Amino acid sequence: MRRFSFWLLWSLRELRRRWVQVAVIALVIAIGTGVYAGLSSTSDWRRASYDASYEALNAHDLHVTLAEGSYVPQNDLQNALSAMQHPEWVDQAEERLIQPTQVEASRADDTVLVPGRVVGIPTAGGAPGIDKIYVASGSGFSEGSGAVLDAHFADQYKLPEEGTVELAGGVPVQYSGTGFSPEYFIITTGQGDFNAQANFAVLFMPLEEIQTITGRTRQVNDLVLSLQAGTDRGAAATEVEQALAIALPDVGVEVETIEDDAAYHVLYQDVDSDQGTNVAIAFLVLLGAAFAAFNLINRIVESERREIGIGMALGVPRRTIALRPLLVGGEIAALGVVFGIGIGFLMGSLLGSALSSLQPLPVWRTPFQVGPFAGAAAVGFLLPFLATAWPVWRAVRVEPVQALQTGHLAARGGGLAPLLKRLRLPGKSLGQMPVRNILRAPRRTILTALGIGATIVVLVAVLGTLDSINEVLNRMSAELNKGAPERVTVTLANFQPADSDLAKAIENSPAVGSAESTLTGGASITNEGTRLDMQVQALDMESPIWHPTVNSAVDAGGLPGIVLAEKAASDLHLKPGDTLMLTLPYRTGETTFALRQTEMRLTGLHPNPIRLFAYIDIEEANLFGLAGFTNGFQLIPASGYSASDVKEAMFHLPGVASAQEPAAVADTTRDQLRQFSSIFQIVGGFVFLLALLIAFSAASISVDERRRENATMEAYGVRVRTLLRIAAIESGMIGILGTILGVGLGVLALGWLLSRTSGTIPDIQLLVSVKPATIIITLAVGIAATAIAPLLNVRKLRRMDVPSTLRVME
Amino acid sequence: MGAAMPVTRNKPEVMIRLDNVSKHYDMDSVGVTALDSVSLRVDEGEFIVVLGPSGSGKTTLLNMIGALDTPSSGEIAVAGMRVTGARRKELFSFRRRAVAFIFQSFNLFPGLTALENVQFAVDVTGGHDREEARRMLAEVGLGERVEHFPHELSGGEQQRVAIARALATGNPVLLADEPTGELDFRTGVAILELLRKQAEAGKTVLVVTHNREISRVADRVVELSSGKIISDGPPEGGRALISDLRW
Repeated sequence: MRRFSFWLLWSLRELRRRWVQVAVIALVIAIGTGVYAGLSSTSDWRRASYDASYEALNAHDLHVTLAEGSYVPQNDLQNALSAMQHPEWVDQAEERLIQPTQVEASRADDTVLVPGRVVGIPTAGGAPGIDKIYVASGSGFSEGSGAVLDAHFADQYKLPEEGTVELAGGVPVQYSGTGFSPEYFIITTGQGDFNAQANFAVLFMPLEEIQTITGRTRQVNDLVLSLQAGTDRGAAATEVEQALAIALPDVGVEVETIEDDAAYHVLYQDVDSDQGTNVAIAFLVLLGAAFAAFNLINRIVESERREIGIGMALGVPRRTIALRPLLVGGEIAALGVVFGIGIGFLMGSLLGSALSSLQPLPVWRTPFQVGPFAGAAAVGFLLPFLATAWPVWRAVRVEPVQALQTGHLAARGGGLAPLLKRLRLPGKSLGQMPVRNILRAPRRTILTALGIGATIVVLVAVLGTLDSINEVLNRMSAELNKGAPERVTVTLANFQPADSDLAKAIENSPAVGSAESTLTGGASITNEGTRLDMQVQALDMESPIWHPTVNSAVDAGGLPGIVLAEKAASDLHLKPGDTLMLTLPYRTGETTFALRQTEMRLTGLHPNPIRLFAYIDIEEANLFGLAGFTNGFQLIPASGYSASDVKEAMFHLPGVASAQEPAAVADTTRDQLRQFSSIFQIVGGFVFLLALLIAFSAASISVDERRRENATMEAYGVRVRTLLRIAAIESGMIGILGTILGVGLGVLALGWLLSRTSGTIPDIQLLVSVKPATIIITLAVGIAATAIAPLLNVRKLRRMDVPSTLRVME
Repeated sequence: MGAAMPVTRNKPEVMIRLDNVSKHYDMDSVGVTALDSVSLRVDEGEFIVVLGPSGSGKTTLLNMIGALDTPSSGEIAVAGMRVTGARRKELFSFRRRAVAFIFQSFNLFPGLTALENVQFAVDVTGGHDREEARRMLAEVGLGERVEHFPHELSGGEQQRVAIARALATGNPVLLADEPTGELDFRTGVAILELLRKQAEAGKTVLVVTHNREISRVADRVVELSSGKIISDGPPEGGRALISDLRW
């Protein structure tokens, strides 16, 4: 014990002498383990928070929607459930009326006019029993009256917790609070987007009120059910579908389980996808930290080889010799774990705060995750021991005389330096120093570059993801704005005859220059076992206002033709010229539609990266059973009018559900991306800090290793700033090497990340895109951090005792 | 403290001048006097040996002259420049233009070949003659080993490279700290011959050693003890030939 305390004391003395380097290496390990623990925890936090939130609001198990434009008398849907084979499976069922609309929430200084929907819910008991409303601010329903505005939308435009909004047709609605139901944990418009609150408003109102406003007295088009605990949702969905088919044979219905819900799907699949992504990013950060820590500890122990040699010469047993460096390693390990807990908490706090602000939920649970942290801490704890053991093992294997001869702390003129005998460098000897130093120690150079490279990989992957999503939005905007940037698309609340009063009012509006009717409906395509939901728009495929770009066009050959997105065709394993089966609603009565299958030919591909969009010629409108009908228009403003004027004019027409620029979805998604970047900024900040610390500690150790050379140069009148310049250039060159390596591997990692993301948002065709700005930022981080770091050693160089250093004996 | 004077190549009457130079260190509240009121004049072209046992202050004296250390009191002027009171920037400039060091442990750059080590000195002092380094190495007898790295050379050869590096600066004062301390007798003698030759060529050479035998070849021997000069004059028994040395 006494002997152990001697070695411990000696190692602590060593620790004190190198406390800055030790602290920095411990911090490098801590960032690696802390970021790993933090990022790994997010999935658990999110899953736990989602589960608790869905449970708190009693989210539906099954959701029945009628084909677009279909309505049935109130209670018909509920009554139809009695025809189920097992009606006892149903715990609760509630009918609703959901209507598209346009919402205006303009204030004196800000025009807010967006499409949206009103959700009529039963409030007889004060609130719905299924898909309850979480009231985020203000108050909910009272006595069956009032309205709750979607909190995402309200937050987006900083609307007060109670106030008035106007629905299409100029209907004012007083809302008493803001909130949302489980279906709107994430706002989607059904057009392949998510977090669409900037361009989509939801208003929850009592069922009777919305029936009155829309003139759909005692009509509904939606049903939600909760099942008894333990009931198989799939089996129940089948029974509900069969029961409705019997009770309402002329109405097309779709029954979905909660797992099919868009918000639920995005949230949970996102967790699964992000789990892999987060772990990959966290692993890269940990790997970078591991490379760096290994290299730095290795170098510290290497500089002790002479003392190890002395010990060997004095006959000290090898395991005893190894004890002191291992104790130093252990002290770094312990410090790293302690720092790591702090970084883990900090990371958790930052991420938890960012997540809850990005994704408002009734319940957020972000406890410290012991499991992920313990795993990372174990790696962080073992690493310094391994890094210590390697050079000690190498040192104790040589003859004592060789170890003693290792007098120079700096590497000898070995490595790749002899290459320079043949390969002459330009410039004076001082200018050549950085290259020579790098070539003298290739292993050290590579390990340092790898550490920096790993951090750069993370940056490229994170920033590249944003670039790639932005690129999608740019491609989407380019296609939808093509030739008509002022185009406004109008959606009607219902199907209308093309010569109806509403259609005429739209066409004859003074703000409208030219108008063209369209027909849009939900549909699906099934091919080779893959089923994709589509939004099929019938329009003039040679319209002078706008028509989709059609690539690889082929003749329809007598069949109705359809143009799909490249991604849709790829996912369905179709190529132009192939035939496919389209399932779409067919009008069977004034307010009823049934689903019908039609064989069509894929006549071309459009470049819009959103898979959802499909186009047919307006001449094929009879496929919907709606020849001569319309439910939308595309408009060009009249001379002297803007798109905003057109939107404003359309808003005041009863029957207009929405009017917007077609690329508005892209613009709002772009806005959302900026908010999402806060999480990436947290990771980016830690990555930058990590790169800086790695470069600093590498440079600091280099200064120690080369203190004799530096002292000699100072003795010959070389100024400290010149020494710093040499160190900065050398470090910067390693930074360039690491950055190039990191960018290359980062692009590969980005491709991998995007392939995982495509599972979460399959409607979007994501292609790897790395913008010049990302490269510039990456280079700036990689090279600037490494070039700046050595300058932090100015104090050490200035305070160096030159005479003493020069007199160190071999 | 007066303003520092620029370094000149004019031949001063006195190349090195020390007036009442003292150096005190505080080590854990214990005061140590390394130099105690030392005054010294060294002329151009003199070969002077500073002799003394360990701890006598001889290396401190060398470091003061080379502006690697600053005195606690007193005045130092070397090659026409007043070192005391000079700013840090001027001291760096002084070391580039007035003095050149030769160390006991050579302190060659391990990543540079012999030629490049010498070329370093040419570059640092602003020289442009690409052949100067090669000439200097030839002068010290290493014309055939210019492409060797330090670890490929013997101790004597490394010290010769160090001397060639010091000569390549073209500076008037050579300061050698135990230059033969790590060498065998024969090699040590060769190094002394080289240094002696530089003094004959007009350089001022100041060698610090604890080896009394070496002092026999000097023009003048300054002996230090406990930080004080206890003798200053020609070697006892007159200057000896290098070939007469024994140690």
